[in-house]
Amino acid sequence: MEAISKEKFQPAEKTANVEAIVRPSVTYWQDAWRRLKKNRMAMAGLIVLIILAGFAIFAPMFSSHDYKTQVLKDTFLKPSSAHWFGTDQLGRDLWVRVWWGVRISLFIGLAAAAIDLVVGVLYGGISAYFGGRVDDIMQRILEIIYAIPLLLLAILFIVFMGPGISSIIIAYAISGWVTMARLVRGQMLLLKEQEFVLAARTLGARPARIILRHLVPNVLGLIIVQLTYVVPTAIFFEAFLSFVGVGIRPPMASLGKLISEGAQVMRYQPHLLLYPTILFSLILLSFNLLGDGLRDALDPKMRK
Amino acid sequence: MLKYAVRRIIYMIITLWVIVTATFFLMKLLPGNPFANASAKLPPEALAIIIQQYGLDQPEWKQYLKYVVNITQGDFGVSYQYPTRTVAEVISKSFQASLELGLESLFLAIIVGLTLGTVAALKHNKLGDYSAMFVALVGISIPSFVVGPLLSLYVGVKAGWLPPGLWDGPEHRIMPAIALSFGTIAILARMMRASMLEVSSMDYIKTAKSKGLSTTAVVRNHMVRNAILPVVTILGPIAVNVITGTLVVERIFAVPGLGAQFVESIYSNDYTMITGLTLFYASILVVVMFVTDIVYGLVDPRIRVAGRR
Repeated sequence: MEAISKEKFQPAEKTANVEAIVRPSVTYWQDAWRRLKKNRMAMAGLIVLIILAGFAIFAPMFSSHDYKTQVLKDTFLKPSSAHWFGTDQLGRDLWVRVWWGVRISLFIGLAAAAIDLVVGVLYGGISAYFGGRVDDIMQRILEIIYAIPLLLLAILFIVFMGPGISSIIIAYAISGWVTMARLVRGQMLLLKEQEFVLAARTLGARPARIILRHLVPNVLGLIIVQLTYVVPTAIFFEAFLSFVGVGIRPPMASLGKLISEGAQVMRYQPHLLLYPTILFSLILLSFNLLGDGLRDALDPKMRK
Repeated sequence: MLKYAVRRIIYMIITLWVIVTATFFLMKLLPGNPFANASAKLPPEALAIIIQQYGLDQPEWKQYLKYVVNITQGDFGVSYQYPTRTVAEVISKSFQASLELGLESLFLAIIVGLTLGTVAALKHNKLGDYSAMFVALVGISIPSFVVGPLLSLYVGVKAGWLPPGLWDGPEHRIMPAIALSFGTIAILARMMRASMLEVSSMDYIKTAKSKGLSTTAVVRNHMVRNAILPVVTILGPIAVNVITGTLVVERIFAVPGLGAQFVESIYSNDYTMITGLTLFYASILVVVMFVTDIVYGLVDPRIRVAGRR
């Protein structure tokens, strides 16, 4: 038998912080971001959107053309080094018009998201927090608004209001927030029974404070995911209205308007249809990919 | 169930009333009056008679009542564009083409969408899943007013396989129906996939498999049958999709339907036609949503209970 060496009986070295957490703690948002980064499709969507937004902001600035100058001797030019995407029936440069269109589409999308965020979250929050009769009445109103076909009434509304960006945004605002309100309410009904809300109430926090500081942060993930779906819906909404002829006022260009104009001359001038179509589809596709990725990242339980 | 149906009917009526009221007041806000063109040539006495005839001298609440009564009787007024035709006539004339197109595209969408969704779920996380879902995502991202012109251009004009427009024989039906069903296919496929995946983890599927049933039998008799139920719930959004889709698709393919008529009247500022058609479309949608709710309340009582908090 081998002799057991003495050093095996040394007292264990005292480590000062055995209980310290070795890995850095990861917050909910860092965790979500990590999951999102792993989702290649979603990241592709995000990157494409950033690039498109960059072009939408800077491309019209650094071009020697603008969206409304008509050069009647240069109508229907094919794409060339002078006009990268060619020109339209009035000799306007399509490259600049397309990027203006992206600008307007994104602006409408973001404005709609902002309205959704404020109105939808507040409505849903108030309805859920107060409950009882308030909730009942607010829900009945919601059900009626929900049943009204938005896209159709919006056409009517804009025919009377006159076309333009603000009309489109207002028309969207009439009932675009309903889904958000429903989602937020459903989630908050579960949350408001939890202890931290009771604690806040016991400490004398007012309803507005409880809703905005305690409940909203807890449904933020859901809200963000919903917003990424609202933006493409609003962009589609604008394009649809422009296509049927009540959208943006000329000479302003939106993607829907460009597609609509392009469709009329597509037989002989396909480039007028092609470029706006590609960009429009790219925006919608990217937002949908990003939305799906965010949903998986922010709500791991929902993952399929 | 009866209580539920009655409640839903009351809601439907309130919704329709809100829509009718909204359109009435929007009509009132309209710049100018229906006789603006003719009134310049008319002596004031004649104009007074006409105004009286149309009841425009009445107080507003009386006009409103008359408007509501007229609407319930299907009288939407006279078109500005074609003064000899009433809006109701135009609707009844062009509704046929729209209905046909809508049903054809729905048929196509249901077959393709459900198949795609089923395939995606069965090949979960494999190539079949990814490709089916990519198709669905593209379908959601590319609206019918983009698919329409592209199809018309490349299949109709460039390749010449199908007529790029008009509404004559069966070959004229194919492309509009495809363009219109694109978005619906995407919605249905995604829904069907999620539903199939949920069903596939159920105990009764395990039971069916352990009984030794063939895969086909399990899929056909147990999975698909149960998975299709929740899909019924999205009939409402689908109806919205198809109906708003007809507006643009009909215009693109020159289909003589309601949608083309609608867009035409927007371009020519035919206000009575616009309001009449909006009301008509809105009522169809409200009724479809009502029917869906009732149907899935009947088919699956669990959904109704869940929907009521």
